[in-house]
Amino acid sequence: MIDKIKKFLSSLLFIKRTHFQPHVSFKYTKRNGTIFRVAAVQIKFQTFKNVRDFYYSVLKKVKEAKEQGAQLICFPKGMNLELQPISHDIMSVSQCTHISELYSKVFTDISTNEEVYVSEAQKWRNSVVKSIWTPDGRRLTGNIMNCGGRKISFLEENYTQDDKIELVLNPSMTHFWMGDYESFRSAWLFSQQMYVYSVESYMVGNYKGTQFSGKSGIYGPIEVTNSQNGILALSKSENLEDLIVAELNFTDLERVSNLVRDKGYERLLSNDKL
Amino acid sequence: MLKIYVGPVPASTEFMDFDLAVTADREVPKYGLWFTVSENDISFHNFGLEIGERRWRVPIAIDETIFEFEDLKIAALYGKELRMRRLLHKIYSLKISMILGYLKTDNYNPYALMASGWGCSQYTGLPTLIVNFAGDTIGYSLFSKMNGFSDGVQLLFERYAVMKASVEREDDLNKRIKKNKGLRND
Repeated sequence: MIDKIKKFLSSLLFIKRTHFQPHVSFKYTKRNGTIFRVAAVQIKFQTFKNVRDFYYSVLKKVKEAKEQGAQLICFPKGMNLELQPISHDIMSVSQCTHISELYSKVFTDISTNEEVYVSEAQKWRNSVVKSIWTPDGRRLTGNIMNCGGRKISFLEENYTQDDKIELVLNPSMTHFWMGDYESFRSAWLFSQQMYVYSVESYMVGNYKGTQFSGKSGIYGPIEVTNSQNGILALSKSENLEDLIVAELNFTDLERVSNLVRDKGYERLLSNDKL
Repeated sequence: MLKIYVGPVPASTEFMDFDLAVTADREVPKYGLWFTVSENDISFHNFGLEIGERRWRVPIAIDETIFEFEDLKIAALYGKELRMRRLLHKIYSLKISMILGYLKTDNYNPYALMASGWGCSQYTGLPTLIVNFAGDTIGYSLFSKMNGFSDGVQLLFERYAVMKASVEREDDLNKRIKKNKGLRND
């Protein structure tokens, strides 16, 4: 077993870290500050025998999204499980840490080389670690993150409407998919109630006998979508791989948010914390 | 279970034995509990007498949004209020049994109904009844919390109907289950 892990770790050596670039130019953001193109990647679960294959698999998706102009690419939750030679339940803490480091290196490298923001969520025994990897090699975590001048957060973080979040990300993985209404339950509904854009990406496929399914989507409040349905892009299937890209217009979002905000309600609810 | 009639007053004669009625007509009959919803306000009538009213404006106090009759406690919200998380959170804490909403749209849009009514039910867990003024048409919708057996859409857009809404709150239900268990154990 130890040999297997050693062999696996040694396969990482091929990754040549590029030099740290603190002020990397970000051409899409510079082009137009209020338009942001985002992508949601729906991935079919597969186990990789070495880091090289995993690296190229992620890189391929990033390049595809980038070809369509995506500046921020949202990957589903639990991709670190694809990299693990054995289940994390029987791995030691140090082995888990090492795998996590390798996994992080893959994302740092790709986001830096490709000059895009990449978000993902690592699933461990009792926790989920959500991150955004920036084009200048940083890892952003926490409640509110700044990407290309936009306030971004993850769906389950704690914040209020006063924080003026513009985009929420929801890397997901679920085996409980009841139908298309599931698509509306989390990110879509959050967009309608908090007046933000949202990107949701699902892991699909089979992992240790558990079938994962879900339709990835890019959503906004119904008032900012041309078809008045709150959907900017939606995956065609809940079981197949997919890549969806949509353009977010933050000027429209601000206009709609301002219409909804009312100081009367702020006074009414000023003593209540959500 | 609360049996609710929704629709114009004349069509209500088709149905018997409902506990509560909701209409967009201005005149209500001299029997039963009726809500009348208009573009400006909502009013609550018992045996033809008005026992409560709310105009569609920002409430000065949260009590303005609530109508009470015996054990029934209904919150009346309009338009954007149905999508305000903080307000819904506050409403839920006041032991409300159901939410009655007014929504005006240019035309029939199921997504607007989902965002306002269905979303309200998913967030609060309470049944939500929407009176939708969609252009020249008035439709009634009923939503509930989604679960393993139901997608939460009881009625999407109907001119008139009788439907059942579960107005027993989960916390009350748990109390009753505990109480019954206690009695059985005795």
